[in-house]
Amino acid sequence: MLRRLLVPAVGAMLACASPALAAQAKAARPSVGDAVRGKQLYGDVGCWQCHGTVGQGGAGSRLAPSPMPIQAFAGYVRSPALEMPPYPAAILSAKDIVDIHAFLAAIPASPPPAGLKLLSPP
Amino acid sequence: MTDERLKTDRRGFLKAAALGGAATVAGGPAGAQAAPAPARRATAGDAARAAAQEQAVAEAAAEEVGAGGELVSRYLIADPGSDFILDCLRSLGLEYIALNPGGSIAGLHESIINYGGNKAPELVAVTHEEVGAAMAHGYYKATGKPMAMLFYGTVGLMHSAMAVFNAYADRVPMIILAGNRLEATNRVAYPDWQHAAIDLEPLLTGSLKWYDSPTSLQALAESLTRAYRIAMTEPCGPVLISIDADLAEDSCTAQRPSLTIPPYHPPVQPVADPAGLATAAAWLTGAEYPVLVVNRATDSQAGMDNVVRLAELLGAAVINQRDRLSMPNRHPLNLTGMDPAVAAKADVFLFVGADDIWPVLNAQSRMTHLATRRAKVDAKVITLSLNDYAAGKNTQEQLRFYPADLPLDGSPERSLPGLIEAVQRALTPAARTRVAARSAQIAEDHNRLAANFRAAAALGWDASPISTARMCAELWDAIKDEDWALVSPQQFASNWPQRLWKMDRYYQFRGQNGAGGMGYSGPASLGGALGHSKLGRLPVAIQTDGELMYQPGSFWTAAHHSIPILSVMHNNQGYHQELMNLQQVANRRSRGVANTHIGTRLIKPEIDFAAMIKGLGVWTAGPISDPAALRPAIDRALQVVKAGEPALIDVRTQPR
Repeated sequence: MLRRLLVPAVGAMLACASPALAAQAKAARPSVGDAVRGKQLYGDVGCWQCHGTVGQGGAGSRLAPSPMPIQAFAGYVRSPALEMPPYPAAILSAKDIVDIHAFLAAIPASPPPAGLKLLSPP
Repeated sequence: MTDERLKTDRRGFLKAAALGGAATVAGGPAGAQAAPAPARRATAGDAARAAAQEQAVAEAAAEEVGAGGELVSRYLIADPGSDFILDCLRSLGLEYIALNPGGSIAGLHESIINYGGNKAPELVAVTHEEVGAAMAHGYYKATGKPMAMLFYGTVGLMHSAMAVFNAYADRVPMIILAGNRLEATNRVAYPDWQHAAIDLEPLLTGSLKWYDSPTSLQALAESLTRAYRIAMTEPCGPVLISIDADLAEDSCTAQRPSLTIPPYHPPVQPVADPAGLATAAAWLTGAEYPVLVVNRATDSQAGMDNVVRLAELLGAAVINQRDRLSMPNRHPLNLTGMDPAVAAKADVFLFVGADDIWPVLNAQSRMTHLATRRAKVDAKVITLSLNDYAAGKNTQEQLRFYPADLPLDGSPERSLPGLIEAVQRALTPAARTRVAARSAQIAEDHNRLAANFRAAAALGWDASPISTARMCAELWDAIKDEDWALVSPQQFASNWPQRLWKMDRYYQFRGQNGAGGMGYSGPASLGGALGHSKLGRLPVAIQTDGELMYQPGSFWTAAHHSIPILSVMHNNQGYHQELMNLQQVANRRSRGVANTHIGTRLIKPEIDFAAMIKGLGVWTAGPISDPAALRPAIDRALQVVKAGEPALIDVRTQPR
């Protein structure tokens, strides 16, 4: 049941990661957060549970590589759509969000599917 | 059986008992510890004494002398009722009976192994009744044939309850035989009384399609045939027959001349009303964007071919829900995974064997329960199923009600040919033109969807723990040239098999557990493997750690009966779905997720599945966390399975 309910959440997050936002992300300044601390937080506050240990997605949407801009990211963390629980400041400070974003931004890109034999089109 | 034969059998039994007793003394612990007697040459006197003793034993038996003479006369019987009961089961063509032994079922147990030679039906030894019922669930979905189980009274049924409810919710037939001793004065003491019941049905309330407790062998014969037919009539479901222990254990010589076994004739399944099918055809052919939502729509390749035929005639997008593969996943009209977008476009839906209607048309938050309509307000809904005939009185597996505009009652598989004919008659030239254009557009969407799946699978490709997409891709590459069947659920692995593999045979995926009852996957996969392996197919399963811990004993059955099955573990070290649920609840209360691992994660200690399952006699490998090490392990396991034995690889995985 929950899987079905989470599908819209995935769609909503992917909508946030539209081409326009992706362009903004490229134009945005490099993250100034502490990626090491962000990695620790990413595990501690449970981001990995839905988004995978390297932000690849799962029950939740893909977060990395190339995460959405920090403003959009923070906005979604504070006020998510559908099934993702909101993370208020009492639980996750602004610095925490910046650091998590830095961790996600530091995750290297995965190989393109076209370069993977097991994922070649039928 | 004549009195002469009865006597003959008694003498044979006594002789065997005497020999057995001697063997026990000689082979027992005391005998083993005694010092060996010095060798002595036998004399003529020894032989004479032995002959005299044998003569005395024979005379005592013939004259029924001794303190227990009359008791022995009552003890020994011929032509037990359970032999007749087994004849009834044989007449139904049952191939397997899952059994966990017990006193009140010993009569039929003995008939199966001795009178029946443990063939057709053959016993499948299980370590828990839930394993037996779940095996029967998987076996039916692999073969289309029901399996029986023989359970021990109240306690056996209670053990089986979860798995039987899963089967009921999944519309799967099974024949449950439960021992019960109805005659109270024949219940000696503990635990005979605790294991008996006035009525066994309440122990499985809500999970049975039919139940009977016959009190004569003739009534039992008729009830078994009736039960089998009811179980196999759609919507299918489990049936329970109480086997009275006294009926099974006592001789039926006196009743024999009047006992008959009713023949079984398969039911002709109900077909939807032709006028209703014509109306449906008119709506569908007149639609701008018809959508087929299929679930338990097919039980055969012909049925799947009919789903394809209908979709192609209509140029309809198809969404395949979770319980049966009813549409080839790589067919250009299959848009499973784009459900919200497809639902938003539709002006006419046809749900075929699909009872989960409301969530297709609406989105709803689990936390706030706020719902928004996803489909067009005026979209028409047609249903083709027998779901209303299976609605539970208490349990709620019928799911949320939706007022379909045209509810058609009929077997989906049997009604599809009539619907196809009606659609062919209703298609106008203008409609055919729309069909062609729409099909091309849907095919483009399908290709885009497949590309998105592959792109998503590449994310975290080299991650450790291993991504579920990588695990499934590696498994697929190893089996893709085999005649395989995925016998486990796939939803906890993010449905990657359905997203990445090629599934075009109806038996390659037969769905989930039915009622969401954990403990299904291990034994149900094994039941599927039992069925598929007899048909020459390669059974593969993706086992999850939390669920496998419910019934790891099923792997003992796999080893004991040499049932080949390739099991790859999606071991994310927790009840991950519940971990996410709990995280949502905690954050909703602004309390954070720091403690949500309590009660949801399977760590400290980490479970060594390879060691545990190896201890049950199964070839294992792992735990494997390096994705590069996975394929060699799969290849080794595949060799074991092809040699006819089970194998399991423990893989440390990403959460989903």
